[in-house]
Amino acid sequence: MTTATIAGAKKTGLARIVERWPVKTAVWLIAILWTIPSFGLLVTSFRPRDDIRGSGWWTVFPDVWDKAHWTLSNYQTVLSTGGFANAFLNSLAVTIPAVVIPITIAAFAAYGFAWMDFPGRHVLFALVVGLMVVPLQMALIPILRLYTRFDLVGSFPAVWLAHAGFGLPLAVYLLRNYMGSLPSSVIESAQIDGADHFTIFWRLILPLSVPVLASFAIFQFLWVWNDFLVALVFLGLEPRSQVLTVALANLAGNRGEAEHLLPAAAFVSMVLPMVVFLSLQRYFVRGLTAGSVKG
Amino acid sequence: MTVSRPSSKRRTRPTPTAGVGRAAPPWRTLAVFLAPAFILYTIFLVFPLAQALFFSLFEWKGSARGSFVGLQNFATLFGRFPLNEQLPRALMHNSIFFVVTMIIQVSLGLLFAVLLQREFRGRQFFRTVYVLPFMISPLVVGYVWSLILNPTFGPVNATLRSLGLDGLARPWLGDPSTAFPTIMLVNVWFWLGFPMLLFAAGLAAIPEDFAEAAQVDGANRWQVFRHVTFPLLIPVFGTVTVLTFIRSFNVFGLVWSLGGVDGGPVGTTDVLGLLFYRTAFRGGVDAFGVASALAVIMFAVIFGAAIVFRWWFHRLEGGLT
Repeated sequence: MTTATIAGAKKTGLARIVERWPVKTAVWLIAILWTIPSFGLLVTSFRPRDDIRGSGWWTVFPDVWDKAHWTLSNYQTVLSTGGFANAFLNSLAVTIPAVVIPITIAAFAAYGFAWMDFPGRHVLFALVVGLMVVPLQMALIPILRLYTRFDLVGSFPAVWLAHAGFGLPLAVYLLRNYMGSLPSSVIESAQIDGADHFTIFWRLILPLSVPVLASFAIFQFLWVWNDFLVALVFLGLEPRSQVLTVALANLAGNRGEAEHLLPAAAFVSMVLPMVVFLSLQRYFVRGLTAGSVKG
Repeated sequence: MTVSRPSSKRRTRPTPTAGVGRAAPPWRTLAVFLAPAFILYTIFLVFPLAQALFFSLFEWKGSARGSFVGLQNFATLFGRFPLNEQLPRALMHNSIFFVVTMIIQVSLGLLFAVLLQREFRGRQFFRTVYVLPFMISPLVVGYVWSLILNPTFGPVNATLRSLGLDGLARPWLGDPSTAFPTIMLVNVWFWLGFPMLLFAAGLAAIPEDFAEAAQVDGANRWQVFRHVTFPLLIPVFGTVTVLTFIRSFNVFGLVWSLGGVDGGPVGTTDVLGLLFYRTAFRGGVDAFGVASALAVIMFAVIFGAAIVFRWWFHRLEGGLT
């Protein structure tokens, strides 16, 4: 960032003004285009049912302070009778272990791949990376059969383990690349001091790997929280165990009946990912690009 | 990132002397570090992969496996109506989806990244705004846009009408000729922030003095971009290509929410993911066999293409830098 500033300052004043305006306009136009859909959704979610069906959301703006235009009832309905409060908790119960399990397992494996010498290390790692492109669909039927045999269908652990398995290749890949790029002198001096692999892993490597751990955590969190297919297949449509995406699909399924509730329901599902991303975003790119870009 | 080189540069790190650094640890330590990943990996990736191949060669009655039938499930997939029409159509749609998404994503994603490369006030804000749709579930993105594109009270048609362009107002998702292009555009809105972030990271990693040296030699800004910046971004292009490819062939929730489980209207938005779901979970009595065959085909296409991409970018990188 500092280098960019220095380069910018080197340009002459005129050139900067000429090239600045089109850029600023473009940047603002894109930003408006990118926010309007979500903004419209937010406005709609607070409008009374009959208004939603009768007119577009932008019609509230001439008299925006009129209380008759606004209501919280969509959120109340969605959360209570719509079952979205329960679905939100289910999504949390699915997502947190489905993020923690693969990170923990992958961190150990990534350390092994990066800092332990054993025969077949490169071949094994290539295999891990190679299977990253396997389409999810390929594994659904065999895993469903496996779960049926152990009576796991419809239970949270079924989804935790499936997501952990599917997320593992990316996790091992990212973590290994990051851990491998840490200076070897640190590890060597620790070994000279008599530290074993567990100590080095726990006291040195893990604290140094926080960016990549956070980065994968965001990625996996978004993936699991927003996942529809895996939840649909392994958890199903039961109101008791359904997650937010499945509840949303259900709500949209009875078209007409509940269409005015969709915006509020959609926002309930969007809140947590936004919070997670905004609070951890500075790590996101740093960890993800550790393999392909230096930085 | 996905299949780019497993950081060959880092192997050049001086090998530690004997007894220090990466000495072979006792097998028990090794097992503690690697066994959990190995077990999970085997159960959820290797084993299903092998099993799907195996299942596709058998006759199925519900979830009961029958006798070995060779390639009959594949024959069904390519021969039985309506699958014989749906499979090529879905494959075609996924391919178009990939190509169009790539063209828009690479050009616009890079443009956005370049626009936000220079330091100015609010840069981080804009970057965040562009990436925000990426946080939303594909399913929700679909519903947001089906509200916006609603033929009667959606803002898109209302805007067109108020501009006197009544002829352009249409049921965007209900018209077979516009439904799929519309879905691809929605996908651009949804996903563009991610390649932008990757390109931005790539641009930030290029040392300033490279460009300055070229400018000193008399290169104009376009030449600097074409001959200095662009070649150095090739690895990022590789990453974006592979990720876009995987995602394009796995697209599911977005199309489900915009076109329904049948990829409507009249199958014009049908994709492999939906076809697989219908075949496996809403198919006939032999569904598991046919769906496994479909999974094998999907694997072959995606895995094959990923290898080709990797080889191609490797060559491209060697040729340009």
